Order: sequence, then C-alpha cells, then structure tokens
Amino acid sequence: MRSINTLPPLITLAACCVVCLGFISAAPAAEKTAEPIAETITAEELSKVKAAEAARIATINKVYGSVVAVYGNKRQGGGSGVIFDEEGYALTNFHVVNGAGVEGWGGLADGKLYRWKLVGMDPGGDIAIIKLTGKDKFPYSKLGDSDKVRVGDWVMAMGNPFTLAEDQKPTVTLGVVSGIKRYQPGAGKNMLVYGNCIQVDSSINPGNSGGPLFNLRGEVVGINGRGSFKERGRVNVGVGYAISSNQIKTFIPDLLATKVAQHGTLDAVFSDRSGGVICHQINLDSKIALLGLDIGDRLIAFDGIEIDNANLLTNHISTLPAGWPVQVVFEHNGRRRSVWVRLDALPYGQPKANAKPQPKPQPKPKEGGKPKQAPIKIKLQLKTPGVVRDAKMNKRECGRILKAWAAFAAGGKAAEKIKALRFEEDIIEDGKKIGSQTVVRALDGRFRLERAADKSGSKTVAVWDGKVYWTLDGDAKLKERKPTNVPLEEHVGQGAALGRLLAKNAVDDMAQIELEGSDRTQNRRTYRIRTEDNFGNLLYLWFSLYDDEGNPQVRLLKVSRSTDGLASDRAQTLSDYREVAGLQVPHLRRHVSGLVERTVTRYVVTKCEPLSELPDDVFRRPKNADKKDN
Amino acid sequence: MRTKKTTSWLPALAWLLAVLAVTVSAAGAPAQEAAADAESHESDNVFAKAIAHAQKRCVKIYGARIGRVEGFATGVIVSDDGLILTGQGVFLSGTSIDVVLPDGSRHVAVVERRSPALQVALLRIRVQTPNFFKVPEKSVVRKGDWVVAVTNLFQVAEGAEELSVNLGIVSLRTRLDAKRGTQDVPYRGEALLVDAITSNPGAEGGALVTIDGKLAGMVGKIIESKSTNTRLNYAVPSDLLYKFMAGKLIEPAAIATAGGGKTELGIRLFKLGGKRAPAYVDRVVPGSPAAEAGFKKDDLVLTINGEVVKNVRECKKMLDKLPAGEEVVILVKRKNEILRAALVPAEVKSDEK
Repeated sequence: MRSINTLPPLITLAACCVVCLGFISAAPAAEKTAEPIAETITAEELSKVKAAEAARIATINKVYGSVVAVYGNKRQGGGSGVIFDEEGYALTNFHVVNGAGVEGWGGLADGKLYRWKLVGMDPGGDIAIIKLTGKDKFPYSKLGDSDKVRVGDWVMAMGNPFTLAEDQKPTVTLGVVSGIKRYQPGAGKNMLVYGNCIQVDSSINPGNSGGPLFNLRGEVVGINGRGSFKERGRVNVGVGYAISSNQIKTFIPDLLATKVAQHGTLDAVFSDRSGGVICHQINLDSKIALLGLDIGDRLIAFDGIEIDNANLLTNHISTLPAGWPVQVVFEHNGRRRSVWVRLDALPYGQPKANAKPQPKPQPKPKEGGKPKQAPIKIKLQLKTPGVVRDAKMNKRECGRILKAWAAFAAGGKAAEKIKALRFEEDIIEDGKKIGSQTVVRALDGRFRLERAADKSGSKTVAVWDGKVYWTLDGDAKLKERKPTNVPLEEHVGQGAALGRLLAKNAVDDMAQIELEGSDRTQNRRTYRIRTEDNFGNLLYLWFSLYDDEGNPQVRLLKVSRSTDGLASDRAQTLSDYREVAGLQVPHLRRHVSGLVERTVTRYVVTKCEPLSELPDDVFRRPKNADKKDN
Repeated sequence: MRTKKTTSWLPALAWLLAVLAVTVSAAGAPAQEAAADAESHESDNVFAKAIAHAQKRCVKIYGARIGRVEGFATGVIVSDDGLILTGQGVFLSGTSIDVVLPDGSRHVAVVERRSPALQVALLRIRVQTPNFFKVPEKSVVRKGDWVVAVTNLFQVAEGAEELSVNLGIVSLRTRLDAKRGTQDVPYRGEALLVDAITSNPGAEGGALVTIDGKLAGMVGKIIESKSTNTRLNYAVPSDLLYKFMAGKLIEPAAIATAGGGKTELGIRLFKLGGKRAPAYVDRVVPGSPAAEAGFKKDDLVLTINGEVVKNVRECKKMLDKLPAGEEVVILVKRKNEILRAALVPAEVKSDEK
C-alpha cells in the first residue's frame, strides 16, 4: 500500500474509502445489508484520523490570519473579508461595503483592528476591494482555481457570522460543495448577480458575507455572499453561494484601478427557439451588431463555450467585465461566422437624462420559482461606473506593478552584475524564416538592433541611445527619427519606451500613466496600463501578475498602440519567458493583429547572453556616415 | 416506545464514529488505489463517485402549487422502465405532473400508488430509464455513516443542471410519531434522522446515498417545530421503500388511503358568531389528525395550504375540499403566537357513520 504521506492525510483516507467499499460495480452485494465494517479501530487507523484532522487544522492555521472582520466606522453590524495581498488588499462583498461605507475597521485574528479604505467595487458581481493599513506585511491567502472545484469537495467558510467574535478571530464552518456553475439572479438594475457561482452546504450566516471559501489546501476558491434564505429568516439553511475566485481574479484589475467595475454584455437578447439559441432582440449600436450579428441569427459558441441554451450564455457572460475580448461564433443566413468583440457595458442605477442609448440588460434565465432578491438600497456613489475614481491610488497601483516587473525583468542583484543582454533572433513569417537579427538591449533601456542583409542585400541598424533614435539603412544613410515619425521597427520603439519604464521611480515622473483595469491577452487575465512612449504616442501594456498556480509572477505579455486590435496597433505579444542571468527574458515575440491576436511575424530568440561590459560605442552614431534628418 | 435497532449498534459519539468508519475502510484499500495519482485533484473528493452515481438517478418533479406551498420536488428513479419514487405533497394533486430527467428531457408522469403512512408516491413515466437505483431490501446505513443528499432544494437546478448536494451523517433511526402533539409529523414509519440540511422546499423525494453510492433512503418532508421554528431532517429508509414497492407495507388503519371520499381533520369551528365571523376553533375531536397535530380550542385558523381563511364559511368550505391522505399545512393564531401545523386528513369511512 502506498505511503500515507503522499497526500494530505484526510484526503488519502477519503479516497481509499470509495474504492475499498467496492463502489457501484459490486451490484449483487449492493442489494444486501452492508456488513459491519468494524466496531473497533486500530492504533494505526486512529493515527491516520488524527493526522487528517491535524492537516485540516494546519491549513486553517495557515489561512486564519488572512480573514478579516469588516466593520464600518460605527462598528454596527459587519461582514467578512479576506486579504489576498501582503500590502493589505482584501476582498469582500459589495453589499458589505455598501452597508459599511467607504472606510472603516477591519478585525484580524491577532485581535487588532486596522483601518481600511475602499479601493474599488463591482456592484454587478457583489465584490469590493478594501485596503487595510497599519502593518507592513499582512498575512494573506492566495486565490485558487475555482474551475477545479467539484461537487462533493470539502470546503471551509470563514468569517464573522452574527459578528460573534469579540476577539476578531474568525469562525470556521466545514461543508461540501453542493453545486457548481449555479446562477442566482440579482437585485436592482444588474446588481448582485451571482453567475457561475459555487453552492455550498457549509453554514453561511449573516456576517459571513464577503468571507472566503477555502479548499482544503487553503486556497480561496470563492467569496461567500448569499444563501437561499426564504422561509426561515436569514439563517443557515444549508444552501450558501460563493462568487467564484476565477470571476474575482478577472475583475481584480478593474477594482484595483479604483473603478466601479461594469459587467459585460453583447447588448443582444437570445432565447431558446426551434432547437437553437436565437437572437431575437439587438441594439443596432452594439459592437456585435456592427460585426454582423442580426435578429434571427443562431448563437453557436461564446468565449470558447458551446452554447446550447440561453441560460448557459447568461451564466457565463455575467462573470465577464465590460471591455473583455471574447470570441463569438454565430450562424448568419446559413453561414457560420466567427468574430472577436470587446463586450459592451451593462448600466447600473438610473439612466441619466442626457445618457446615450443604454444597452439592454441581459435576459434573466427563466428561473420559474427561484427566489428573487429584495431590491438593494444603494448608498455608495455609483454614478460614473467604468472610470477611475481615485487617480492617486490608481497611479500608486501602476507603480506597484512596474516595480514588481522591473524586479523580474531588470532588477535585483542581477542588475549589478550585468549591463545588457544580447539576443540573436530568427524572423519567421508564415512558418518560414525570412531573416535574422541581433539586438543588444541595455538594462537602462538603450538598445541596438542589427538586421542581417535581406534579399535585396541591405543591412539595417537601429539604435536608441537614450536621447536620440537613429537608423542606418542599407543605403548607409543615417536617419535621426523625430517623435512625429513612427519608428521603422515597432518593437524597437516600444523597447525604448519600456526601457524608460524600467527606470527607478519612473511612474512618479510620468504625467500620463493609468491602470485601465482588466483585460485579456494570450488567454490570460492581465492588468492593462495606458501610458506614453518616448515620442508622446499612446502605449498600452498588458501585465500578468500571477502564474497558473496563483503565485505572484510578473510577466509583461503584450505591448500595443491601442486596444482595438487593429493592424495599425503594431501590437506585439511576449511569451516563452526563460531565466537568463537571474532575469526573466521573453524568448518569443510575436507581431500580432486583431483581438484574436493572429500572428503576423514571429521573432524567436535563438541565443540570449548577458553582457557584463557595455562599451559606449555600441550606441554611438558612426561619424563618417551621411547625416540626414527627416 | 424506543427504537430497537440502534441499541446494538455503535455507542454514542456518532460523528466521531463516522470518521472512524471511514478510516477503517481506508485501511483495507485495495491496490488499485495506489495507482491513483497522488497529486491528482480527483482523489480529494471522496464523495464524487457517489454523487455522480446519484445525479444520473434523480429527477426534478414539477406539479401543482397551492398558495405558498411549492409545486416542485425531487424524485428517485427505481426501475429501468420509468418508475420514480417521490414524496407525497401538493405537487401531486394537480392535473399534470412533469418529470425532468438528468439529461434535461421532460416527461409527463402519472401516480401509480401512494403510501400515506410513508408519505411516499410511486410515479411512472413512459420512457426507458436505464440508470436507476436498486432499492435495497435491507437497511444499508448505520448510525454515524456518511450520507449525501442529492435534491433539488429551492429549485436551484433547472433542466439538465445538476442537483444540489448536502453532506451529513445518519444521526439515528427512530419513529417520529413518538413526539406526536409536539411536532407536525404526518409521517408514521421509522425514519432516518440526518444532520444534512434537507428540510427545505423541493428537497422532498431526493436521494440519500451512502458513500459507495447505495440508496440509503429518500429525503422526507419539511418538519418544523411549532415552538422553536427549527427543522428536522429525515429520510424514509430504503428498506421501507422496498416494502412499499413490493406491496408489503402495512398501512396503519388510522390513516385513510387517498380515495377521494369525504375527509376529516377533526376541527369543529365556533359557529355562534355567524358565517362571516373569524374561524375560531371551538372543539377538537379527540384522536383526530387535528388533535394529534396539537390544535386547541380558541385557535384562530389563518391559512389553509397558504390560502387566507376569511371566515367560518370559507374555512368550512376549504376543509371539506381537502383530499384524503395528502398533507395540509395550516397556520393558526394562538394568543400572540402564529403556529404552523402540517397534518394529513383522515378519510371518513362510510360504514362508521
């Protein structure tokens, strides 16, 4: 028998059990009364039970400190929350801060109360982020992958039910996942919708709102927000719902951007008709209408999910933010079409008098007797959803991301030892190698690119020396590029801009930098930052801050001139990160086009070596070359 | 009367024993378990197989609703030719009963038989159901065993969506009518008490399965204490279900079969105030369902099955129309309290009068 140590003990025991009992296949035996398993247990078995219990307690101890009791300034009532970043950022429910206000007190298991301030909120998904202060490093828990949650999994809800804890220590309630991909309709106008949420039988009571739902590995897989309280007052009835961690991860950049996040919509209404999901209402100004979707068209797939009923679409789309890029496949006049579109925004609250035509709300799935929520009384200011509320806080967030990125890409101890990186790259189009180039990139942002002779026999040199950008073409004409000139090689121009961002305290000096919020590139959740390059042109950066396991890992994944996915964006994606001399260096750059990110050209790094010396003349202009400004 | 089955079983501390039972099983884990990937997420979930098994064998049932009494429930497929066990509630009293199979397909069901004692009904749909539970002839659970309830409580799931799962252990096997007069219990047989929260709308008729996927019982009705508003979670044990299906269940004589004849709750209303006077109880017939449910003189009848009772005349009309053998929910006001009673009208046998 395999070692008990290979799994968390409780899990091992549990897993063995099913197999041992012969499960369903032992049909004849199943008819009979179960034989007594045992009336006594051995010392070994008892130790396994104790080990299982110890493992669970260890997990609880690990995450205990990250659970917050959330109170308003007056400390009347309260909810729960969980810290997900050591700087004190915590998740809670929108309906908790809606009751508590924009600031208040957060109680931790250490028994102390810390001040918190509201950062961002998502009324549509009932999530808010608050920031605690008063400690250099807060204990935090990482967000898990809620797509891996299965019905029957053990889960622990933690929080402050009935505001029981005078000493601020959280309450733990153990249960199992009762259902996944549940949909619970919202309240008010497009608010508090729980799409694709997790249903649990862990006790969820008033005060648990906003608290974390942990798996047995101590990862946050959801935020507990509501229950089916229908007949017996608002106490546990064995049916609680948690907003999935994956939805939350998608929205976090929007919230850290200090926005009132908006949810996405196609601005078209679909219903189940004649064996398909048919569009029967559409706003002609919506993006999807401009891309050719019309009334009567059949929806085939949305965001990679085959749509065979309208509820499935509603359930999934309610977890996506406005502006999120999705693929929509539909049948128009018998022809199958696939388009990429950024979702339109669902409005909240009362439409303003001078507002543009408002997108229609998503159709609610026909839920028959499902309990509707009582209308919510909104106390917080929601008038300007989708815009940055606090520019200062937003800028600080940009600084945090860039600083973390610099530490990965050009910082730390490695920067002391090496001055530059030298790349050898193959240029590939349509699967064929069409050339190669050498790039020397200094960690301070300067670079020199040399492209080998192409078919016409000309060789190109392009250099950014920190002040001036110049090129030397095959005809040996030296050209100094001016800000008005779009650089010859986009990735070179962008490289210069990135170099500037790597400088210390770059953000402090920049007038134009903003965390725009959530976006997706290369199928990853990213933080999108808008800034300017050295020539005053708009530049967008896409950062991913976590790896697949939810551990902090900063990656710059995309750089582009705009967010529309036009060919003129000169967008390039960065991937295949590998470590070179302690730095994380992308080994594949792709020039891409469209929201679908179709590859136009690939730059594959064949060799990357660190340079500890960097002679100045690498970037110096050749004196004998003809100088020609343009 | 005390239960006879529990005494010879494991001693107290049922919960601890449940854990131990699991452990003991684990000790004998066969070799194939070793093949399972230790890192795999799959192995975290001890209940997954039993749940998946049950999900294929449970159905959603939609029928009539009366007032605030919901018209939906759960059912358990018990044969390959469309037999479905469910509870006996108002959802069966309408003109049509719809059954939604796990694949989302919808079928019309007819009631084949009922057991007022167990508050169970056997439905049939005209379609083959290759996935079904074999109802075990003997009990498959003991006090302290883990069980999962697979139900459609609160109608959370629709169409092909999966039913809800609640985890618990078997707390006790006992008779509920031992507490007659204190609780509203229309159920007369032995019941499995569980600590999974199943006493919710729509859960009735759901499957209670063991960790190895056997049908331990069928989730029962909502039973609520009049004095504390707390609820009892129980299931009809599978061995009683087996007897019912085999036609061997002996129905207590006191409870009438559903025959459509005249019914009697045993409430006599105060008539001196006239027909438009509020419906106060004047007298409760001893030994009647109303007496067992704890009705008292001077209770004011507020609602019957959720419908507001305006006066004596209406109350009389509504009481006369109640079908025999089917649970009725009555709200009464007693002094400053509003009390809820669930009871089953008895049929008035013609030869008795």
